[in-house]
Amino acid sequence: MTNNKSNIQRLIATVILLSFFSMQAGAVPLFSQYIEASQPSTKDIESSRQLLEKNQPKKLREPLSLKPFHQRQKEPILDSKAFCTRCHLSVPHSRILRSRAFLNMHTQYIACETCHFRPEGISFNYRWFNFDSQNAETNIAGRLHVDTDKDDTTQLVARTANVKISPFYQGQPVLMTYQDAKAKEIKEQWKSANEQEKTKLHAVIHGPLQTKGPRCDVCHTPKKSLLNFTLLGATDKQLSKLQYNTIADFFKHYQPEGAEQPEASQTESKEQRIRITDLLR
Amino acid sequence: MTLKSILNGWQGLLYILFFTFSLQLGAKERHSDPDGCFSCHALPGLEFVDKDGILRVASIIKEHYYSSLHGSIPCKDCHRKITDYPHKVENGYVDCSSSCHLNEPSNGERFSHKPIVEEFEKSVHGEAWTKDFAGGNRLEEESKILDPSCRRCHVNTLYIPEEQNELFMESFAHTDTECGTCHEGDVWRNQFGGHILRRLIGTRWKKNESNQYCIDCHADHSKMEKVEVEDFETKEKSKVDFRWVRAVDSYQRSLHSRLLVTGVEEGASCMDCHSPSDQSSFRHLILADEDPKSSTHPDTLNKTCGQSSCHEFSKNNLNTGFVNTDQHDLDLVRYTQGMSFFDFDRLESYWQRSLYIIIPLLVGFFLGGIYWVVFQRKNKTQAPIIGNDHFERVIIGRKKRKTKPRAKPVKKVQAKEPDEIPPDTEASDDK
Repeated sequence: MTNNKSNIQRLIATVILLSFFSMQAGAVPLFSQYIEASQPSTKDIESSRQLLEKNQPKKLREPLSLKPFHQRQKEPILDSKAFCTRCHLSVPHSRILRSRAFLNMHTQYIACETCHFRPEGISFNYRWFNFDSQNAETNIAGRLHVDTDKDDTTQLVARTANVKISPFYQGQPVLMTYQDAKAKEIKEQWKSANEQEKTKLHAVIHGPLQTKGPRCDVCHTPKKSLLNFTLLGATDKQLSKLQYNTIADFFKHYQPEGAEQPEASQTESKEQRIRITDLLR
Repeated sequence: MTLKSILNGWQGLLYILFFTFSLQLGAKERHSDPDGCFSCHALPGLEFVDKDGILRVASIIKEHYYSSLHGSIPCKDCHRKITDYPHKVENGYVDCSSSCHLNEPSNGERFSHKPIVEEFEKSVHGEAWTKDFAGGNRLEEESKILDPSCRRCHVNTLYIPEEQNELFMESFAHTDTECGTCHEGDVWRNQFGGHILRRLIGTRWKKNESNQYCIDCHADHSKMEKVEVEDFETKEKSKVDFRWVRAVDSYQRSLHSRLLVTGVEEGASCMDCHSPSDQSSFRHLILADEDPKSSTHPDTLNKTCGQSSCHEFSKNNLNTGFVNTDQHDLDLVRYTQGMSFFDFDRLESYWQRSLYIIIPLLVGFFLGGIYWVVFQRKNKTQAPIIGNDHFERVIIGRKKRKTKPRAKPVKKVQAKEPDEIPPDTEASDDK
């Protein structure tokens, strides 16, 4: 009961906040507005401090001279112009063994904010966003790549453009690119900030975000998927493969991660393992 | 007619033969991905950065795999213990000597690289890894192990190299008309046709390509300087010498290498001398020169140099001198960056020894010349020690000079101008 009440209060506050910003800010991205209004608690700041202390910026090592045995499909690393990739690697997920590679695969065609910026009480539309033109992408035919057999190769659009599925609110892109005024302001602040100020700034930026993204079956489901695959250009065959996805079904077998268990504590030995033959169940 | 009566009669024998044959045919069918590994691993973009900062890519190009040397082999034939997801690294370890579920076409037995591994383990590289291979331990191998493991040289390449594909397709089309005269039916063609034709269209590795695998490591001087070799008799380990470290440099300056570089396949590759096919069944048995079984041991050199299509005359004992020609002659090694004249390791080179004598002499003459030009040239009292005086006395008839002691060079005192003389001096003179 108390939870419901607080949820309603939060919803009303959000709507008022958004109305206020909509009037004030015009075309300023919603994520940018949320950062502006972000007021992290002491707990959030402490959490940011621990994260910054623990996770030093990761640098990619030069490729090893000892080549991998199998010929691998190495995807080109594009400069997505996303605000997040100014600090995070373009393959940012590394902690949870079972999902990191799959989540990184999704970063090729899904913007960070799609999964990590889902404020309560607001419903977004998800469309293709072109990071180069900084507008909604209208050419959507063949953009979805679903089948590993590539039986429809001729219709596929090569993934050489910075086009990703992104949230839109009232027809405007929600996400912030690094060229936005707020992004530039944050960059300058970060440059001149001391450790304490950086910690606070980290908490401010990440305040509106969820650490954990949605489960696989939030999108990969025939019932009320977060994404409208048809609007994103899926053919009937692709739609079926996305909604009844074998890998998403497999992931349902895992125990959900408890909120009290931070991701960082996941180590290889503690990781829950499931027999692959369970795919057949 | 009962089942018993059928099985007892001659028809029964036919039935049994029919079923046995059908089952065998069925067993020949191969499924490269019976475990569904490509359900995930064929997805592009399965990447993550591991704890060492290495970008790991788990996406394998399915089309490439199916067309590769291992394309007929299910993943679990090599990655045997993988049953769970996330995969435990050690469960994916590959042992190159294990046998796979593929029959070797010539003898019908399970195929395995074990004989090659056994030969390799007897070689100078024998301490290298031949098992426990996983994508996750490449860094460990690269940073800790000097000996080249299987995967250092071998990756999963295409069954038919791209440049030979056209020739292969052309040849494969003839199997029905030419091979098919004797070997009728698709079964033979599918099982053996490609296998044999691949060998007929040319060798997989060109000599330059196989050399490159040796050069990749042996041309890395800093890496090679860390190598320790075992004495053949005492088994004691010691650091390698300069000649050993520069083996690639000297080889690359030799005729053997230069022929290959210019596209003449008659040149000799590293393998041609160090693991020739008639002394090493799988060409992995590279032994130390001191080992009597080595193809580069002085006693076996005439056989190695005289292998077919090379210097066959060297098999004659009269030509022993020829086979002792140094193929890693340090005289050929250029002075390059990081090499110093004062590197006494090069003393094995006759040129280097000569230079150690000639250069000090040259330097002495040069410095002496400079000294004479600066200090002695203007000294008029000096005379030639030999020759000149004799010429004047005998040919011209001048009287013999009395030998005078050499006069000390007179310092020229420049007269001072009168107005420079200080007034005090004038005063003192007056006195």
